[in-house]
Amino acid sequence: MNLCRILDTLAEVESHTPATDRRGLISYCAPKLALTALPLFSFVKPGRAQTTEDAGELLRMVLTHTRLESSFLELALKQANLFPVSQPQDRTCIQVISGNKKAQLSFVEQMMQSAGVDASTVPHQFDFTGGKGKAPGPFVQVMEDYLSFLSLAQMLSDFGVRALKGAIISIKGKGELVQGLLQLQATEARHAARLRQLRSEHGLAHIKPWITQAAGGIQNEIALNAYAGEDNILQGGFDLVQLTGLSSDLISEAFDEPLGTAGVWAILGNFVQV
Amino acid sequence: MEILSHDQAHAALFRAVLRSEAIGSLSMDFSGIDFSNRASVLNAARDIKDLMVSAYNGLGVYCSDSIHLGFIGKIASVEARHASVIREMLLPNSFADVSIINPVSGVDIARSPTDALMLIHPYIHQKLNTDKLQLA
Repeated sequence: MNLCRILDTLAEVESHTPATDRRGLISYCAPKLALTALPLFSFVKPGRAQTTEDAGELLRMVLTHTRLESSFLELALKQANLFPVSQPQDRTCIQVISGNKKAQLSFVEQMMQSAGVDASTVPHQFDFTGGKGKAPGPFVQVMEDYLSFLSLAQMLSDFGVRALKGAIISIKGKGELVQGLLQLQATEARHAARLRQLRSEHGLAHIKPWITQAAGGIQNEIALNAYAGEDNILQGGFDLVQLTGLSSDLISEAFDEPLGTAGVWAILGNFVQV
Repeated sequence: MEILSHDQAHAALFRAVLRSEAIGSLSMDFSGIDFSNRASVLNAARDIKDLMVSAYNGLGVYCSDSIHLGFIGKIASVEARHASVIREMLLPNSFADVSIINPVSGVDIARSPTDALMLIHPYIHQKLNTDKLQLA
């Protein structure tokens, strides 16, 4: 399956650099095809059987996360003293994200409906401290303290990107669902980047819009689990630090990493009211 | 600079994976961009990034190989992070506003490979096509 040729084109247009700058790559690659080597794709072998996870379980996981995030932001926007008065653009930013999230609720529910998946068991009561609705969890004061709010908002978005990525891989073979999840993931990543920038603007200068190594800049166990494995530098068996000569920080930033279903539920479970 | 490095890493991975099946070097046509003008450069960067995001989103349905699908997912979200940052450089709070996110679905768009290539063509001298592409 040579789908990746189009990926190659995309990456080429963006990163265009003289061939001499890619010296490190040449030893890895067989001689390039002539420029006339069109068309772009070879045939995809259709209908190859692959193990897929139950689409219903994956979509229920996605809806749980979307509900958690949407209700978190909605409640935050109702607080009188949470957002900095001197920076009204911060509140506007959360309104933009919250607006997207509300719309996504119906988007995900429609995906479930079209896949014949029952949404009735999906949780809708949440504990935003991460304490399972019992003793307060590690995200204390998320509705009173702006920086605490931003920490959780960032973690939920970065974690959402990872959860969706895991679902995208596991649900493979179901084209429409894969596309819907990719669309959700892209918007989630836009949100995550902006939320990370907000934290950086509020004193955490080391937080970049992309994830450097596995650092979320949030010191509790839930967050550590949410970012564990983000520091991967091996892609498809290639050590990209070695291949490109770029630093491991840059390589870790260049790829977001998926989280498997068990890992996602373990984190979500902290926020579900039981 | 970081965005460029990330994109170089993406290109490196695809070349390593595709080996002899990778496309040859493309020659770029950036003549439509005024590199002495910040807004012109940022507008082009935004358009290209938003386009990349939509192109990756549209590729999932053609991918029958879970490793390749994994690459699409891993790179697409970093592209979306880039797009978000570049949009903010142009206009505050435009990172995910209605100019790019469908307000009804709340999500990014997905473009078919054919549509995406049509929008890429102004930036490259070669003509590429998707004739052999099939749904997974």
